[in-house]
Amino acid sequence: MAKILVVDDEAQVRGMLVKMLSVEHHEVIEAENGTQGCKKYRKHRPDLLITDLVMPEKNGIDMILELKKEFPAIRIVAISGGGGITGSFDYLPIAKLVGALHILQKPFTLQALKSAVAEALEVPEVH
Amino acid sequence: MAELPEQLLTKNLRILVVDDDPFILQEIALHLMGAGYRVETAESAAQALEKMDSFHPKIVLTDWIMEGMDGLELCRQLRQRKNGRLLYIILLTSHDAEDSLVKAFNAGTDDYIPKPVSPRILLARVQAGARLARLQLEVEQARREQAERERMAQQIQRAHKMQAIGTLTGGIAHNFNNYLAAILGYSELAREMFPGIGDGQLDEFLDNIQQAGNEARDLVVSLRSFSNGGSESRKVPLLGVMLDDIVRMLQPVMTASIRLKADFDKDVPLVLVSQDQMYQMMMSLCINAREAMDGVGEISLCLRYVHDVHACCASCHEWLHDDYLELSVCDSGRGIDAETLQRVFDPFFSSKDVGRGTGLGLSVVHGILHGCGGHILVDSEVGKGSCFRLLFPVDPSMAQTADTGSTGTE
Repeated sequence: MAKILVVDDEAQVRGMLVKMLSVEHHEVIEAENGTQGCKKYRKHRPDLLITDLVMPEKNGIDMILELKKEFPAIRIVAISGGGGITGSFDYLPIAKLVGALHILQKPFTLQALKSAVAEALEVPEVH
Repeated sequence: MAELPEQLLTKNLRILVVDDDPFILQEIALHLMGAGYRVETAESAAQALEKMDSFHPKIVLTDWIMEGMDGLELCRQLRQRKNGRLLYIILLTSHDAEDSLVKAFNAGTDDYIPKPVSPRILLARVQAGARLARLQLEVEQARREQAERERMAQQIQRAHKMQAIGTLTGGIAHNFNNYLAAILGYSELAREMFPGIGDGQLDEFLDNIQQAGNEARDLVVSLRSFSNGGSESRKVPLLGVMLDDIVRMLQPVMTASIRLKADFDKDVPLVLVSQDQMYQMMMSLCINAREAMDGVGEISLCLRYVHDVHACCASCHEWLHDDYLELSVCDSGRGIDAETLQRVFDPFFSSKDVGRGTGLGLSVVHGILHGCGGHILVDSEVGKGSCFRLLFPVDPSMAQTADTGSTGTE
Protein backbone atom coordinates (compact mmCIF):
# COMPACT_ATOMS: atom_id res chain seq x y z
CA MET A 1 0.00 0.00 0.00
CA ALA A 2 1.42 3.33 -1.06
CA LYS A 3 0.51 6.97 -1.48
CA ILE A 4 0.20 7.74 -5.19
CA LEU A 5 -0.37 11.04 -7.02
CA VAL A 6 -2.25 10.71 -10.30
CA VAL A 7 -1.98 13.61 -12.79
CA ASP A 8 -4.12 13.56 -15.95
CA ASP A 9 -6.24 16.26 -17.57
CA GLU A 10 -8.75 13.67 -18.82
CA ALA A 11 -11.26 13.17 -16.00
CA GLN A 12 -12.30 9.77 -17.39
CA VAL A 13 -8.78 8.43 -17.43
CA ARG A 14 -7.96 9.98 -14.06
CA GLY A 15 -11.09 8.48 -12.52
CA MET A 16 -10.24 5.08 -13.92
CA LEU A 17 -6.66 5.25 -12.62
CA VAL A 18 -7.91 6.25 -9.18
CA LYS A 19 -10.30 3.32 -9.18
CA MET A 20 -7.68 0.83 -10.38
CA LEU A 21 -5.24 1.97 -7.71
CA SER A 22 -7.84 2.13 -4.92
CA VAL A 23 -8.81 -1.44 -5.66
CA GLU A 24 -5.18 -2.30 -4.99
CA HIS A 25 -5.56 -0.47 -1.64
CA HIS A 26 -3.36 2.47 -2.49
CA GLU A 27 -4.06 5.94 -1.18
CA VAL A 28 -4.64 8.12 -4.24
CA ILE A 29 -4.36 11.88 -4.70
CA GLU A 30 -5.49 13.55 -7.94
CA ALA A 31 -4.35 16.53 -9.96
CA GLU A 32 -5.49 17.67 -13.39
CA ASN A 33 -2.40 19.41 -14.75
CA GLY A 34 1.31 19.93 -14.16
CA THR A 35 0.93 23.05 -12.03
CA GLN A 36 -1.53 21.35 -9.69
CA GLY A 37 0.62 18.21 -9.78
CA CYS A 38 3.71 20.07 -8.55
CA LYS A 39 1.77 21.70 -5.71
CA LYS A 40 0.19 18.44 -4.57
CA TYR A 41 3.47 16.54 -4.80
CA ARG A 42 5.16 19.07 -2.51
CA LYS A 43 2.21 19.03 -0.09
CA HIS A 44 1.60 15.26 0.10
CA ARG A 45 5.05 13.85 -0.76
CA PRO A 46 3.58 10.66 -2.31
CA ASP A 47 5.59 7.46 -2.87
CA LEU A 48 4.85 7.51 -6.58
CA LEU A 49 3.79 9.95 -9.28
CA ILE A 50 1.75 8.64 -12.21
CA THR A 51 1.40 11.33 -14.84
CA ASP A 52 0.04 12.00 -18.28
CA LEU A 53 2.35 14.00 -20.56
CA VAL A 54 0.26 16.16 -22.86
CA MET A 55 -1.70 18.50 -20.59
CA PRO A 56 -2.70 22.16 -20.52
CA GLU A 57 -1.15 24.73 -18.13
CA LYS A 58 1.99 22.74 -17.43
CA ASN A 59 2.75 19.57 -19.38
CA GLY A 60 4.01 16.36 -17.85
CA ILE A 61 7.59 16.71 -19.08
CA ASP A 62 7.97 20.17 -17.52
CA MET A 63 6.45 18.91 -14.29
CA ILE A 64 8.84 15.95 -14.19
CA LEU A 65 11.83 18.24 -14.82
CA GLU A 66 10.74 20.61 -12.06
CA LEU A 67 10.04 17.93 -9.48
CA LYS A 68 13.14 15.95 -10.39
CA LYS A 69 15.25 19.00 -9.50
CA GLU A 70 13.62 19.30 -6.06
CA PHE A 71 13.23 15.58 -5.40
CA PRO A 72 15.99 13.70 -7.27
CA ALA A 73 14.77 10.32 -6.02
CA ILE A 74 11.18 10.85 -7.18
CA ARG A 75 9.51 7.73 -8.60
CA ILE A 76 7.59 8.37 -11.79
CA VAL A 77 5.42 6.31 -14.14
CA ALA A 78 4.54 8.26 -17.32
CA ILE A 79 1.45 7.49 -19.39
CA SER A 80 0.45 8.98 -22.73
CA GLY A 81 -1.87 8.51 -25.65
CA GLY A 82 1.12 9.31 -27.82
CA GLY A 83 1.46 12.55 -29.70
CA GLY A 84 0.00 15.92 -28.89
CA ILE A 85 -3.52 17.18 -29.31
CA THR A 86 -2.73 18.23 -32.86
CA GLY A 87 0.60 16.58 -33.53
CA SER A 88 2.17 13.23 -33.93
CA PHE A 89 5.21 13.69 -31.72
CA ASP A 90 5.84 10.91 -29.22
CA TYR A 91 6.62 12.20 -25.71
CA LEU A 92 6.94 8.86 -23.92
CA PRO A 93 10.61 8.23 -24.81
CA ILE A 94 11.38 11.76 -23.61
CA ALA A 95 9.68 11.09 -20.29
CA LYS A 96 11.94 8.06 -19.90
CA LEU A 97 14.93 10.21 -20.75
CA VAL A 98 14.13 12.78 -18.08
CA GLY A 99 13.62 10.22 -15.35
CA ALA A 100 10.38 8.22 -15.58
CA LEU A 101 11.00 4.68 -14.30
CA HIS A 102 8.25 3.26 -16.52
CA ILE A 103 6.29 4.47 -19.48
CA LEU A 104 2.87 3.18 -20.46
CA GLN A 105 1.19 3.76 -23.80
CA LYS A 106 -2.56 4.39 -23.48
CA PRO A 107 -4.66 2.30 -23.58
CA PHE A 108 -2.90 -0.05 -21.18
CA THR A 109 -4.13 -3.14 -19.36
CA LEU A 110 -4.82 -3.32 -15.66
CA GLN A 111 -2.01 -5.85 -15.42
CA ALA A 112 0.49 -3.53 -17.12
CA LEU A 113 -0.38 -0.73 -14.71
CA LYS A 114 -0.15 -3.04 -11.68
CA SER A 115 3.30 -4.29 -12.63
CA ALA A 116 4.59 -0.82 -13.52
CA VAL A 117 3.42 0.48 -10.13
CA ALA A 118 4.83 -2.50 -8.25
CA GLU A 119 8.20 -2.28 -9.99
CA ALA A 120 8.45 1.48 -9.51
CA LEU A 121 7.66 1.16 -5.80
CA GLU A 122 10.41 -1.43 -5.42
CA VAL A 123 13.01 1.13 -6.47
CA PRO A 124 14.55 2.37 -3.23
CA GLU A 125 13.99 6.01 -2.42
CA VAL A 126 17.48 7.36 -1.80
CA HIS A 127 17.74 10.74 -0.13
CA MET B 1 7.83 35.33 -68.66
CA ALA B 2 11.52 34.99 -69.46
CA GLU B 3 12.79 37.05 -72.40
CA LEU B 4 13.41 34.86 -75.43
CA PRO B 5 16.96 35.16 -76.70
CA GLU B 6 16.83 37.18 -79.92
CA GLN B 7 19.66 35.18 -81.42
CA LEU B 8 17.86 31.91 -81.10
CA LEU B 9 14.91 33.30 -82.97
CA THR B 10 16.32 35.10 -85.95
CA LYS B 11 19.94 34.13 -86.40
CA ASN B 12 19.55 30.52 -85.39
CA LEU B 13 16.02 29.83 -86.59
CA ARG B 14 16.03 26.47 -88.37
CA ILE B 15 14.83 26.30 -91.93
CA LEU B 16 14.53 23.17 -94.03
CA VAL B 17 14.69 23.83 -97.77
CA VAL B 18 13.33 21.16 -100.14
CA ASP B 19 13.91 21.19 -103.89
CA ASP B 20 14.86 18.45 -106.33
CA ASP B 21 16.95 20.91 -108.33
CA PRO B 22 20.32 20.94 -106.55
CA PHE B 23 21.31 24.31 -108.03
CA ILE B 24 18.20 26.14 -106.86
CA LEU B 25 18.47 24.32 -103.52
CA GLN B 26 22.01 25.50 -103.00
CA GLU B 27 21.27 29.05 -104.08
CA ILE B 28 18.35 29.43 -101.67
CA ALA B 29 20.31 27.81 -98.85
CA LEU B 30 23.21 30.22 -99.37
CA HIS B 31 20.93 33.27 -99.27
CA LEU B 32 19.30 32.10 -96.06
CA MET B 33 22.58 31.19 -94.42
CA GLY B 34 23.92 34.57 -95.42
CA ALA B 35 21.03 36.13 -93.49
CA GLY B 36 21.97 34.13 -90.39
CA TYR B 37 19.46 31.27 -90.48
CA ARG B 38 20.39 27.67 -89.76
CA VAL B 39 19.65 25.77 -92.92
CA GLU B 40 19.30 22.10 -93.82
CA THR B 41 18.53 20.90 -97.33
CA ALA B 42 16.62 17.95 -98.77
CA GLU B 43 16.49 16.91 -102.42
CA SER B 44 13.15 15.14 -102.16
CA ALA B 45 10.00 15.19 -100.04
CA ALA B 46 10.89 11.77 -98.63
CA GLN B 47 14.31 13.01 -97.54
CA ALA B 48 12.66 16.08 -96.01
CA LEU B 49 10.36 13.90 -93.88
CA GLU B 50 13.37 11.90 -92.74
CA LYS B 51 15.23 15.02 -91.67
CA MET B 52 12.32 16.45 -89.66
CA ASP B 53 13.08 14.39 -86.56
CA SER B 54 16.75 15.22 -86.36
CA PHE B 55 16.68 18.85 -87.49
CA HIS B 56 13.38 20.14 -86.00
CA PRO B 57 12.91 23.12 -88.34
CA LYS B 58 10.47 25.94 -87.55
CA ILE B 59 10.10 26.86 -91.23
CA VAL B 60 9.93 24.51 -94.22
CA LEU B 61 10.48 25.97 -97.67
CA THR B 62 9.53 23.50 -100.37
CA ASP B 63 9.25 23.38 -104.13
CA TRP B 64 5.86 22.30 -105.49
CA ILE B 65 6.76 20.19 -108.48
CA MET B 66 9.19 17.44 -107.51
CA GLU B 67 10.02 13.88 -108.54
CA GLY B 68 8.08 11.39 -106.39
CA MET B 69 6.08 13.11 -103.69
CA ASP B 70 5.25 16.71 -104.64
CA GLY B 71 5.28 19.79 -102.41
CA LEU B 72 1.55 19.74 -101.73
CA GLU B 73 1.61 16.15 -100.51
CA LEU B 74 4.67 16.94 -98.37
CA CYS B 75 2.71 19.85 -96.94
CA ARG B 76 -0.23 17.59 -96.03
CA GLN B 77 2.02 14.98 -94.45
CA LEU B 78 3.94 17.57 -92.45
CA ARG B 79 0.68 18.95 -91.03
CA GLN B 80 -0.31 15.50 -89.85
CA ARG B 81 2.88 15.01 -87.87
CA LYS B 82 3.08 15.65 -84.14
CA ASN B 83 3.43 19.43 -83.74
CA GLY B 84 3.10 19.72 -87.53
CA ARG B 85 0.50 22.45 -87.11
CA LEU B 86 3.21 24.63 -85.55
CA LEU B 87 5.39 24.60 -88.71
CA TYR B 88 5.49 27.58 -91.03
CA ILE B 89 5.42 26.23 -94.59
CA ILE B 90 6.32 28.25 -97.65
CA LEU B 91 5.75 26.87 -101.12
CA LEU B 92 8.00 27.75 -104.07
CA THR B 93 5.82 27.84 -107.15
CA SER B 94 5.51 28.98 -110.68
CA HIS B 95 1.75 28.20 -110.58
CA ASP B 96 0.43 31.57 -109.64
CA ALA B 97 -3.06 31.02 -111.09
CA GLU B 98 -5.81 31.65 -108.53
CA ASP B 99 -7.03 28.02 -108.45
CA SER B 100 -3.55 26.65 -107.92
CA LEU B 101 -2.83 29.00 -105.05
CA VAL B 102 -6.11 28.16 -103.32
CA LYS B 103 -5.24 24.47 -103.71
CA ALA B 104 -1.85 25.11 -102.14
CA PHE B 105 -3.31 26.98 -99.16
CA ASN B 106 -5.92 24.23 -98.71
CA ALA B 107 -3.11 21.68 -98.52
CA GLY B 108 -1.73 23.59 -95.52
CA THR B 109 0.70 26.07 -96.97
CA ASP B 110 1.15 29.32 -95.06
CA ASP B 111 2.68 31.39 -97.83
CA TYR B 112 4.19 31.07 -101.31
CA ILE B 113 7.12 32.52 -103.19
CA PRO B 114 6.81 32.78 -106.96
CA LYS B 115 9.49 31.27 -109.13
CA PRO B 116 12.01 32.32 -110.27
CA VAL B 117 12.90 33.25 -106.73
CA SER B 118 13.97 36.83 -106.10
CA PRO B 119 16.45 36.92 -103.18
CA ARG B 120 14.81 40.01 -101.67
CA ILE B 121 11.32 38.49 -101.78
CA LEU B 122 12.73 35.24 -100.38
CA LEU B 123 14.27 36.96 -97.35
CA ALA B 124 11.25 39.24 -96.78
CA ARG B 125 8.81 36.33 -96.76
CA VAL B 126 11.03 34.12 -94.64
CA GLN B 127 11.34 37.00 -92.21
CA ALA B 128 7.55 37.26 -92.05
CA GLY B 129 7.47 33.54 -91.28
CA ALA B 130 10.18 34.00 -88.65
CA ARG B 131 8.05 36.64 -86.92
CA LEU B 132 5.19 34.15 -86.65
CA ALA B 133 7.51 31.36 -85.56
CA ARG B 134 8.79 33.65 -82.83
CA LEU B 135 5.28 34.42 -81.63
CA GLN B 136 4.52 30.73 -81.63
CA LEU B 137 7.61 30.02 -79.53
CA GLU B 138 6.55 32.69 -77.07
CA VAL B 139 3.08 31.23 -76.79
CA GLU B 140 4.51 27.75 -76.38
CA GLN B 141 6.90 28.91 -73.69
CA ALA B 142 4.14 30.78 -71.86
CA ARG B 143 1.98 27.67 -71.99
CA ARG B 144 4.81 25.52 -70.64
CA GLU B 145 5.44 28.00 -67.83
CA GLN B 146 1.76 28.12 -66.98
CA ALA B 147 1.57 24.32 -66.94
CA GLU B 148 4.65 24.21 -64.71
CA ARG B 149 3.11 26.77 -62.31
CA GLU B 150 -0.11 24.76 -62.18
CA ARG B 151 1.81 21.54 -61.58
CA MET B 152 3.78 23.15 -58.74
CA ALA B 153 0.65 24.62 -57.17
CA GLN B 154 -1.05 21.25 -57.36
CA GLN B 155 1.97 19.55 -55.85
CA ILE B 156 2.12 22.02 -52.97
CA GLN B 157 -1.60 21.61 -52.39
CA ARG B 158 -1.30 17.82 -52.27
CA ALA B 159 1.73 18.00 -49.99
CA HIS B 160 -0.20 20.29 -47.65
CA LYS B 161 -3.12 17.93 -47.73
CA MET B 162 -0.94 14.99 -46.67
CA GLN B 163 0.60 17.08 -43.89
CA ALA B 164 -2.81 18.22 -42.70
CA ILE B 165 -4.13 14.67 -42.68
CA GLY B 166 -1.02 13.60 -40.77
CA THR B 167 -1.57 16.23 -38.10
CA LEU B 168 -5.25 15.40 -37.92
CA THR B 169 -4.72 11.65 -37.57
CA GLY B 170 -2.03 12.25 -34.93
CA GLY B 171 -4.48 14.34 -32.95
CA ILE B 172 -7.31 11.86 -33.38
CA ALA B 173 -5.03 9.02 -32.30
CA HIS B 174 -4.06 10.90 -29.13
CA ASN B 175 -7.64 11.61 -28.11
CA PHE B 176 -8.85 8.14 -29.03
CA ASN B 177 -6.19 6.57 -26.87
CA ASN B 178 -7.50 8.55 -23.91
CA TYR B 179 -11.07 7.36 -24.51
CA LEU B 180 -9.88 3.82 -25.09
CA ALA B 181 -7.84 3.88 -21.90
CA ALA B 182 -11.02 4.68 -19.98
CA ILE B 183 -13.23 2.20 -21.88
CA LEU B 184 -10.79 -0.70 -21.69
CA GLY B 185 -9.68 0.17 -18.16
CA TYR B 186 -13.17 0.36 -16.69
CA SER B 187 -14.36 -2.80 -18.45
CA GLU B 188 -11.32 -4.66 -17.16
CA LEU B 189 -11.97 -3.32 -13.66
CA ALA B 190 -15.60 -4.38 -13.86
CA ARG B 191 -14.58 -7.90 -14.85
CA GLU B 192 -12.14 -8.11 -12.03
CA MET B 193 -14.39 -6.62 -9.35
CA PHE B 194 -17.71 -8.23 -10.30
CA PRO B 195 -17.01 -11.65 -11.80
CA GLY B 196 -19.78 -14.08 -12.65
CA ILE B 197 -22.70 -11.64 -12.34
CA GLY B 198 -25.91 -12.58 -14.19
CA ASP B 199 -24.82 -16.15 -14.90
CA GLY B 200 -21.65 -14.89 -16.48
CA GLN B 201 -23.55 -12.67 -18.92
CA LEU B 202 -21.81 -9.54 -17.67
CA ASP B 203 -18.44 -11.20 -18.34
CA GLU B 204 -19.55 -11.95 -21.88
CA PHE B 205 -20.65 -8.36 -22.46
CA LEU B 206 -17.42 -7.05 -21.03
CA ASP B 207 -15.49 -9.43 -23.28
CA ASN B 208 -17.23 -7.90 -26.27
CA ILE B 209 -16.42 -4.39 -25.10
CA GLN B 210 -12.79 -5.38 -24.66
CA GLN B 211 -12.60 -7.05 -28.06
CA ALA B 212 -14.02 -4.00 -29.82
CA GLY B 213 -11.75 -1.78 -27.76
CA ASN B 214 -8.71 -3.79 -28.77
CA GLU B 215 -9.65 -3.56 -32.44
CA ALA B 216 -10.01 0.19 -32.05
CA ARG B 217 -6.59 0.28 -30.39
CA ASP B 218 -5.01 -1.54 -33.37
CA LEU B 219 -6.64 0.93 -35.73
CA VAL B 220 -5.19 3.82 -33.76
CA VAL B 221 -1.75 2.21 -33.97
CA SER B 222 -2.11 2.18 -37.78
CA LEU B 223 -3.26 5.80 -37.76
CA ARG B 224 -0.22 6.78 -35.75
CA SER B 225 2.04 4.90 -38.15
CA PHE B 226 0.64 7.10 -40.88
CA SER B 227 1.20 10.32 -38.97
CA ASN B 228 4.65 9.66 -37.55
CA GLY B 229 6.01 6.52 -39.18
CA GLY B 230 5.15 4.31 -36.23
CA SER B 231 7.22 3.15 -33.32
CA GLU B 232 10.90 2.56 -33.70
CA SER B 233 12.18 -0.94 -33.34
CA ARG B 234 15.54 -2.58 -33.80
CA LYS B 235 17.21 -1.64 -37.07
CA VAL B 236 18.68 -4.22 -39.40
CA PRO B 237 20.35 -3.84 -42.81
CA LEU B 238 17.94 -3.93 -45.74
CA LEU B 239 19.26 -6.92 -47.63
CA GLY B 240 18.07 -9.78 -49.78
CA VAL B 241 18.38 -12.30 -46.93
CA MET B 242 16.05 -10.27 -44.73
CA LEU B 243 13.61 -9.87 -47.61
CA ASP B 244 13.75 -13.62 -48.29
CA ASP B 245 12.49 -14.14 -44.74
CA ILE B 246 9.68 -11.69 -45.34
CA VAL B 247 8.75 -13.38 -48.62
CA ARG B 248 8.49 -16.69 -46.74
CA MET B 249 6.18 -15.03 -44.22
CA LEU B 250 4.07 -13.60 -47.05
CA GLN B 251 3.63 -16.94 -48.81
CA PRO B 252 0.67 -18.06 -46.66
CA VAL B 253 -1.39 -15.00 -47.57
CA MET B 254 -0.87 -15.62 -51.29
CA THR B 255 -3.08 -17.96 -53.24
CA ALA B 256 -1.60 -20.95 -55.08
CA SER B 257 -2.08 -19.19 -58.40
CA ILE B 258 0.05 -16.21 -57.43
CA ARG B 259 3.75 -16.46 -58.13
CA LEU B 260 6.07 -14.43 -55.93
CA LYS B 261 9.23 -13.64 -57.85
CA ALA B 262 12.16 -12.13 -55.98
CA ASP B 263 15.20 -10.48 -57.51
CA PHE B 264 17.40 -8.94 -54.85
CA ASP B 265 20.70 -7.35 -55.83
CA LYS B 266 23.50 -8.44 -53.52
CA ASP B 267 25.65 -5.41 -54.11
CA VAL B 268 23.59 -2.68 -52.46
CA PRO B 269 24.55 0.16 -50.13
CA LEU B 270 23.88 -0.27 -46.44
CA VAL B 271 20.48 1.01 -45.35
CA LEU B 272 19.11 0.29 -41.88
CA VAL B 273 15.42 -0.41 -41.49
CA SER B 274 13.07 -1.85 -38.92
CA GLN B 275 12.25 -5.43 -39.81
CA ASP B 276 8.74 -5.10 -38.34
CA GLN B 277 8.04 -2.04 -40.44
CA MET B 278 9.42 -3.74 -43.56
CA TYR B 279 7.15 -6.67 -42.91
CA GLN B 280 4.18 -4.37 -42.40
CA MET B 281 4.84 -2.47 -45.63
CA MET B 282 5.49 -5.58 -47.72
CA MET B 283 2.37 -7.21 -46.32
CA SER B 284 0.20 -4.21 -47.25
CA LEU B 285 1.67 -3.95 -50.74
CA CYS B 286 1.48 -7.68 -51.49
CA ILE B 287 -2.09 -7.96 -50.24
CA ASN B 288 -3.05 -5.00 -52.44
CA ALA B 289 -1.27 -6.69 -55.36
CA ARG B 290 -3.12 -9.93 -54.67
CA GLU B 291 -6.46 -8.11 -54.66
CA ALA B 292 -5.56 -6.20 -57.84
CA MET B 293 -4.91 -9.50 -59.65
CA ASP B 294 -8.03 -11.23 -58.34
CA GLY B 295 -5.80 -13.96 -57.00
CA VAL B 296 -4.05 -14.90 -60.25
CA GLY B 297 -0.76 -13.56 -61.58
CA GLU B 298 2.76 -12.64 -60.66
CA ILE B 299 4.15 -10.33 -58.00
CA SER B 300 7.78 -9.43 -58.52
CA LEU B 301 9.89 -7.98 -55.78
CA CYS B 302 13.12 -6.30 -56.70
CA LEU B 303 15.86 -4.69 -54.62
CA ARG B 304 18.42 -2.49 -56.35
CA TYR B 305 20.49 0.65 -56.00
CA VAL B 306 19.12 3.43 -58.22
CA HIS B 307 21.24 6.44 -59.09
CA ASP B 308 20.04 9.95 -59.65
CA VAL B 309 16.30 9.46 -59.36
CA HIS B 310 14.45 12.36 -60.96
CA ALA B 311 10.81 12.06 -60.03
CA CYS B 312 8.04 13.37 -57.84
CA CYS B 313 7.16 11.36 -54.73
CA ALA B 314 3.70 9.87 -55.25
CA SER B 315 2.55 10.59 -51.71
CA CYS B 316 4.32 13.70 -50.36
CA HIS B 317 4.89 15.19 -53.84
CA GLU B 318 8.41 16.37 -53.12
CA TRP B 319 10.73 16.51 -56.13
CA LEU B 320 13.49 13.97 -55.76
CA HIS B 321 16.95 14.02 -57.26
CA ASP B 322 19.13 11.67 -55.32
CA ASP B 323 20.42 8.12 -55.09
CA TYR B 324 18.20 5.59 -53.34
CA LEU B 325 18.00 1.96 -52.43
CA GLU B 326 14.85 0.86 -54.20
CA LEU B 327 12.57 -1.99 -53.24
CA SER B 328 9.81 -2.43 -55.78
CA VAL B 329 6.64 -4.49 -55.59
CA CYS B 330 5.13 -4.97 -59.06
CA ASP B 331 1.99 -6.85 -59.96
CA SER B 332 0.30 -7.89 -63.17
CA GLY B 333 -3.08 -6.74 -61.91
CA ARG B 334 -5.73 -4.38 -63.17
CA GLY B 335 -3.70 -1.21 -62.56
CA ILE B 336 -4.77 2.10 -61.06
CA ASP B 337 -6.24 4.99 -63.03
CA ALA B 338 -4.72 8.46 -62.64
CA GLU B 339 -7.61 9.82 -60.60
CA THR B 340 -7.52 6.99 -58.07
CA LEU B 341 -3.75 7.25 -57.89
CA GLN B 342 -4.11 10.76 -56.47
CA ARG B 343 -5.94 9.37 -53.47
CA VAL B 344 -4.44 5.96 -52.70
CA PHE B 345 -2.30 7.25 -49.83
CA ASP B 346 -5.18 9.06 -48.09
CA PRO B 347 -6.17 7.35 -44.85
CA PHE B 348 -9.39 5.36 -45.18
CA PHE B 349 -9.35 5.59 -48.97
CA SER B 350 -10.02 2.11 -50.26
CA SER B 351 -10.84 0.81 -53.70
CA LYS B 352 -11.79 -2.51 -52.15
CA ASP B 353 -15.35 -3.35 -51.21
CA VAL B 354 -16.57 -1.93 -47.94
CA GLY B 355 -15.57 -4.28 -45.16
CA ARG B 356 -12.49 -5.56 -47.00
CA GLY B 357 -9.39 -3.82 -45.83
CA THR B 358 -9.12 -0.82 -43.58
CA GLY B 359 -8.02 1.68 -46.21
CA LEU B 360 -4.94 2.31 -44.10
CA GLY B 361 -2.44 -0.02 -45.79
CA LEU B 362 -0.85 2.49 -48.14
CA SER B 363 -1.22 5.30 -45.59
CA VAL B 364 0.93 3.27 -43.25
CA VAL B 365 3.46 2.61 -46.04
CA HIS B 366 3.59 6.38 -46.62
CA GLY B 367 4.05 7.06 -42.90
CA ILE B 368 6.78 4.48 -42.35
CA LEU B 369 8.75 5.43 -45.46
CA HIS B 370 8.65 9.15 -44.79
CA GLY B 371 9.42 8.50 -41.13
CA CYS B 372 12.80 7.15 -42.22
CA GLY B 373 13.41 9.84 -44.85
CA GLY B 374 12.25 7.72 -47.76
CA HIS B 375 9.80 8.28 -50.58
CA ILE B 376 7.56 6.27 -52.87
CA LEU B 377 7.00 6.18 -56.61
CA VAL B 378 4.09 4.48 -58.34
CA ASP B 379 4.03 3.38 -61.96
CA SER B 380 0.68 2.03 -62.98
CA GLU B 381 -1.14 1.32 -66.19
CA VAL B 382 -4.78 0.33 -66.30
CA GLY B 383 -5.06 -3.27 -67.45
CA LYS B 384 -1.32 -3.94 -67.20
CA GLY B 385 -0.43 -3.67 -63.53
CA SER B 386 1.12 -1.49 -60.89
CA CYS B 387 4.57 -1.03 -59.51
CA PHE B 388 5.16 0.50 -56.07
CA ARG B 389 8.76 1.60 -55.69
CA LEU B 390 9.87 2.20 -52.12
CA LEU B 391 12.89 4.49 -52.00
CA PHE B 392 15.18 4.37 -48.98
CA PRO B 393 17.69 7.18 -48.48
CA VAL B 394 21.31 6.18 -48.76
CA ASP B 395 23.64 7.74 -46.22
CA PRO B 396 26.65 8.92 -48.30
CA SER B 397 29.03 7.73 -45.58
CA MET B 398 27.44 4.28 -45.85
CA ALA B 399 27.46 4.24 -49.63
CA GLN B 400 29.83 1.29 -49.54
CA THR B 401 28.00 -1.95 -50.11
CA ALA B 402 26.41 -3.81 -47.25
CA ASP B 403 28.49 -6.92 -47.92
CA THR B 404 31.59 -5.15 -46.73
CA GLY B 405 30.04 -2.74 -44.30
CA SER B 406 27.61 -4.80 -42.27
CA THR B 407 29.68 -5.01 -39.09
CA GLY B 408 29.16 -2.58 -36.27
CA THR B 409 25.90 -1.26 -37.63
CA GLU B 410 23.61 -1.98 -34.71
